Amino acid sequence: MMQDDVIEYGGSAAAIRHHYDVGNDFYSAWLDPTMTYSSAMWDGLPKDAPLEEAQKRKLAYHAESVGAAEGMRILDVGCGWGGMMRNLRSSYGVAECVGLTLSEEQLAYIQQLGDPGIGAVLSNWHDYRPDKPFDAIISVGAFEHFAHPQQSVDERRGVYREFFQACRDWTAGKGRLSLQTIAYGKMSPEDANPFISNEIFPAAELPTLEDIVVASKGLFRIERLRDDGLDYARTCEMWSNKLRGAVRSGVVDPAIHPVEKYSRYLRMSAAGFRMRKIGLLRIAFAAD
Amino acid sequence: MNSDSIRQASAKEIEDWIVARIAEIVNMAPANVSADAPFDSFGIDSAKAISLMVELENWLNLPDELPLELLFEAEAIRDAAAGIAAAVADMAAAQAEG
Repeated sequence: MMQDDVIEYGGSAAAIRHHYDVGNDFYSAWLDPTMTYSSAMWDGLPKDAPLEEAQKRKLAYHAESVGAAEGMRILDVGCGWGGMMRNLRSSYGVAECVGLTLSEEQLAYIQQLGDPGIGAVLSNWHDYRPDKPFDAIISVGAFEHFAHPQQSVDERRGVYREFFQACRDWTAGKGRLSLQTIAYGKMSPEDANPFISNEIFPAAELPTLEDIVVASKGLFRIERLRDDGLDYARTCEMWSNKLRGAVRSGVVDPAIHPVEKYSRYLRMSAAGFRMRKIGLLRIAFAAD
Repeated sequence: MNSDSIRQASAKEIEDWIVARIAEIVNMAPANVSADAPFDSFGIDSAKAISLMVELENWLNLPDELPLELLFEAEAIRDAAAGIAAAVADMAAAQAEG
């Protein structure tokens, strides 16, 4: 448990590193080859479609949500290992992608891709200042880190509103935003499991759908909203099985990597989605 | 039974095991846990639900995880047990093929 109680805006860097800097090799052992560490999407695919295909479906969904097209400049807030940006470049002819990350390992990974049209910046959204506007913004699996458990509902919504205001400013008030985030469902913040909130994602607080609606009001119009929690349940289960396989085949050594912790976390998350305690929101916003 | 082989429990044995475990978790007599009720009707949190699945996998000596939907999506514990027994039989067949 972190003792540092200073609230960092836009996601706590120490908390992000706590989770993501376990090592790229560890994640690559159980993520799909696109290194996408967020829910896949099975809508429009056969139920038994493999994870990699469903991850590509998800990448395409967000690209299409913002109308990705040739020559555009797109910002990815919380870019992970760059899978979204690579797809925007290769499948949609997007001219320039900039990704924000707080993880040094992710930054190094993206830099070694060697694509001059893909840039990564080690910054949170709160401190970031683009040198020119973007045509669109995508943010997948980052919003979960924006608020802090010690904040009141109003403070949380204030932070979210600042984010939506920043997105509006950075797209000159005419861009689109595609957001994917886990949100509270039937569960309320006080019921959060201490293992997840202390060990796995310290200093992070999930939004509710209501938070997002209130925080974006007047800045962005919600064009399309989906709750795909079962997609995330399936994704977590597939990761967990892959992790187990990686241990069995010797690719991952439980003596070095936190296998048991992740296995438990992935399966508990899957259960939370299946029980609808938490959900997965996919929201397409257009400038209001 | 060698240490790597799967315990090929019947659907009824698995049902009894789940009922007994639920009874322990919610502090009720097993006789008061109905196998006709769905798993999510007992108010068991996700951490305990996962512990139950892991214990069940260990008891069955499974090489792979059981899909959670077998437990969560079934309309009754009895159906969940039948689905799990079928999954276990598949894993045992795959293991026998080597």
